[in-house]
Amino acid sequence: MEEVLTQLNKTSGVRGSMVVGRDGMIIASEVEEGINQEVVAAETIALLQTSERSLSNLDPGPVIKGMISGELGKVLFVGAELGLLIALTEPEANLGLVWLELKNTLQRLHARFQEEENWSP
Amino acid sequence: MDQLSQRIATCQRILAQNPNSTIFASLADAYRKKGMLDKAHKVCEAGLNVHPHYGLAHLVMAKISLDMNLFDEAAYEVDWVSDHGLPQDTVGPLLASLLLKRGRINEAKEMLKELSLSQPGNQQITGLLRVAEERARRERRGGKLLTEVIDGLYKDPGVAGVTLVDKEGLLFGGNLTEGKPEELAVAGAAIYNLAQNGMKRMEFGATQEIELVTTAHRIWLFDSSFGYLILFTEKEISPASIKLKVGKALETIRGG
Repeated sequence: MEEVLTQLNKTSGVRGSMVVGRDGMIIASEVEEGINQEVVAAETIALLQTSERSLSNLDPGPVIKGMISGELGKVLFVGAELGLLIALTEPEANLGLVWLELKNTLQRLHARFQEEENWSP
Repeated sequence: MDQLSQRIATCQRILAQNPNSTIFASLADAYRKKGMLDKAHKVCEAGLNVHPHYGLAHLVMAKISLDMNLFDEAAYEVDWVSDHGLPQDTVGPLLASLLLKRGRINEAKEMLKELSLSQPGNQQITGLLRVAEERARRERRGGKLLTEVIDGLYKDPGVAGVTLVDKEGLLFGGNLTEGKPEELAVAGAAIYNLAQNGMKRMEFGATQEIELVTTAHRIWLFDSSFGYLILFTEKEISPASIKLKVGKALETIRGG
């Protein structure tokens, strides 16, 4: 799984990526030094859960992806089989390209996941 | 142990000895004051199931609901305590807070003026009146312009809701096709405030914008000088087109 994340991190402007379970547990992580992966995982999951709970009266359906833009960087996330795939980027990253790479990464992760599911000794 | 924690421990002990005790209302209020709103709501709700006519518990439930931005529930409890003869000096500020949170500023202001005449030394009323007057001033200054901005965005066929809300979750104005604009406002403010703290902890700086995509909709949250501009749109709307319109709207808000 780390290999797939390393490939995603080669996208211009991406500072790191992670796969995090819906309980906030880090499943895999490849981030730049100086990024606190535990904080990123906990805050992203908290945002996802708060969003779904707060918006439930409007019945928009479950959140499938999202982006938070900050002055110094962006957090992009998409729902994955195991939880969330998160990418951390520079503020000026090409978002179209990063979203595309996130989609490709999801497919790669899905393929790996299927391989492991079908594996038998 | 601080005073509130001591009070919680004492109430818990009494409730453990006598599960039917009316001390649950004090316990729920202590949880509320400590910011443990979910727990406060749960304790008060359970107690009210046993003591449905206990006025003090309804009063506490009104305060909890208001803090949780559960406006319909708060309105029900405020009506209940009002109908059951609880004194106006207790019910009045609660009702005024509810009106303020629902964006009915002038009604709140008039009510608080009357309350401050009958209770000139009441600091809670004085504080709320100050907030209402400030909000009314702000509305007079930019109200028409902001209403035009909100209405302009809402005209887009893919937009199902637009609200402008200040950072405390008080609704400034808005439209929502299905549901109450204050629900979108409260949800948006909660999400933005959480993201704001999260991004600071991640050392990603101040939050400028949030976009959430659900299976059927998109929710956009933008920082503006007035607070947060929140859009609730169809999922298939063109992000580029909506961002262009929002950019212009934010310029107008900031310039206004």
